[in-house]
Amino acid sequence: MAIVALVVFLVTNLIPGSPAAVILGEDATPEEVQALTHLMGFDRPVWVRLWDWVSDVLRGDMGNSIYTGKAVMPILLTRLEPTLILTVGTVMVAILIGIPLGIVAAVNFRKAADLAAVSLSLVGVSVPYFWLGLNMILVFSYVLRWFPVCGYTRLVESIPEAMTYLFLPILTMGIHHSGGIARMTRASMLEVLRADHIRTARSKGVSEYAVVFKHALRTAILPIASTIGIVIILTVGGSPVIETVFALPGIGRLTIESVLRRDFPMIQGCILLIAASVAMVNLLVDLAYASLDPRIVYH
Amino acid sequence: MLKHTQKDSVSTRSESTDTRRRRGRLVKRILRNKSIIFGGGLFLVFVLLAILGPVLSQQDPMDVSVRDRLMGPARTHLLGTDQMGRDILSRILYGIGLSLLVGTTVVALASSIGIMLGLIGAYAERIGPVIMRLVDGLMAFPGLILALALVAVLGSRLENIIAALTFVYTPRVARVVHAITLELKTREFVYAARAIGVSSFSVMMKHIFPNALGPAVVQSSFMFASAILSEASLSFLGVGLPPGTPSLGVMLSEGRMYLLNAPWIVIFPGATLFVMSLGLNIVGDGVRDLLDPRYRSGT
Repeated sequence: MAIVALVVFLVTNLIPGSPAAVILGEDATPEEVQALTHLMGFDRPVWVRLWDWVSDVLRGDMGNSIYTGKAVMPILLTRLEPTLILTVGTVMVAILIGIPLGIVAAVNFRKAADLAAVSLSLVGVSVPYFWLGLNMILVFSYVLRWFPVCGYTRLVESIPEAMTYLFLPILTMGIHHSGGIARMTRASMLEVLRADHIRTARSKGVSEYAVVFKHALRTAILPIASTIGIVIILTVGGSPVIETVFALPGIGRLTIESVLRRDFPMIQGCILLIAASVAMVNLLVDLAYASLDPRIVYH
Repeated sequence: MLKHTQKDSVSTRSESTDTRRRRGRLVKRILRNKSIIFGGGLFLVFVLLAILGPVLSQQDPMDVSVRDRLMGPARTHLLGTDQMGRDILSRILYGIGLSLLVGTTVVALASSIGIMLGLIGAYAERIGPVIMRLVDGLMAFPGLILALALVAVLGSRLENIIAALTFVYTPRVARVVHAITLELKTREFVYAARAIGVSSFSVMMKHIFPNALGPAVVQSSFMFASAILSEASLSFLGVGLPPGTPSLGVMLSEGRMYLLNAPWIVIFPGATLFVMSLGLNIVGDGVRDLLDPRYRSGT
């Protein structure tokens, strides 16, 4: 996490050229750039700025937005809800599509069902999700009029209404990421289905259902859990794009708004929050290993 | 003396025959690999479309014609026109070239730097761990978020997008090469080379590098599609290539406002991006099957 914080700071502070010049644009005079550089404290030594920034962040103070003048932290918290629901929903849809697809492919190895499942998962992985999202809007919002085009209602106001806004983004991201889970499930299951304990189970007359779901899937789950962790990270990482397509007021949309406004404190806050959540997901996946496989013990 | 020279020339001749045989076997395996042939064929079509673009479409991709705006697919404009009356086919052909340029450059740079860092990370006792901890830190950021932050600071230009994406993808190659190098360092042929007095640098370049190249190539082949989609995502978000540029991402970004009235503005560039990414991912699967022994059995 210390390295992550350091990278966040360095990215916005040590790049050649003045951040003040980037904020003011190409038409700014050198005097204007110098004045803003002084105002924002960019003329102080780097290590002083780093120390100030780290000590402020540790106290929960990420500074004030250049654009609105308001504190960064409360704004981040208000934008958390849609991104959180989008991520949880996406993972659920991706698991619901991906794992059965991977199992079907592995059980029917080199048969028509395998080819179909592999092709579908390849399509899921390759499709640009912002384009898929736009097609979803075209079909389900404009033509069929089943869902609103864009917008958001907070959960506390109305859960069903919030879900009508989130259904298409979740479905879009879920379809896209199910491809990765399906491919990993297939590869992992194929490896396990050839193992000795599976052959033993079959020779003892255990039903095919029990062989696949009780013996094979339980053994094959570790790499799948790791892929689910990657899906969470990719969904958070892809949130600026999907939230832009569906106009969701989440962390991703806030990141892109801040980038377009050159609001550096807000950019730093968004990236730090996203990187911290990625580190947390990685930790949770590692902890999940221990509960999924009793042979893994952390000391 | 004469005997020694004769022996040397005989062994050199047998070595070159061996190399030729191995190359012949590799070419045969490539030609037998359906994924490489099919995906590579698709990719080749896109390369040809990018090269022959000006011949295939006589229209200038930047030519504005207000009279022809939002025209559907017709004989004069095979894929229709956009909101400024620009020919979509010629813009797509130009956009394919841009995507391939970004993909090729990013893959070449990230692979070269990543391989170097991975090797140094595993070999250099002092700076190696420092490099790898930095690599781990960078891997904690979702790729698109890090690229967004870098482009925000560097500015929206083609070379900056390439630099940002190179920065994002380099750690992935470095980590793969580092892991394989650590494993190769403990192999008998490496011990043997060291025992006869071969220097560390020579061991790294002559014995480890060729063996680490396979996994790096597999990683790079998937990176190509990812880099193309990342560039399109950045442009779609408005922080990539400037508005008006005939890039597939910019076309999708500008066209989404006209999704209901002129869906072809979005459908055709997105479909192009999808098929290009699909072809590259199929090639990636094929390359992995070819170079990674774990996948040779078809898993």
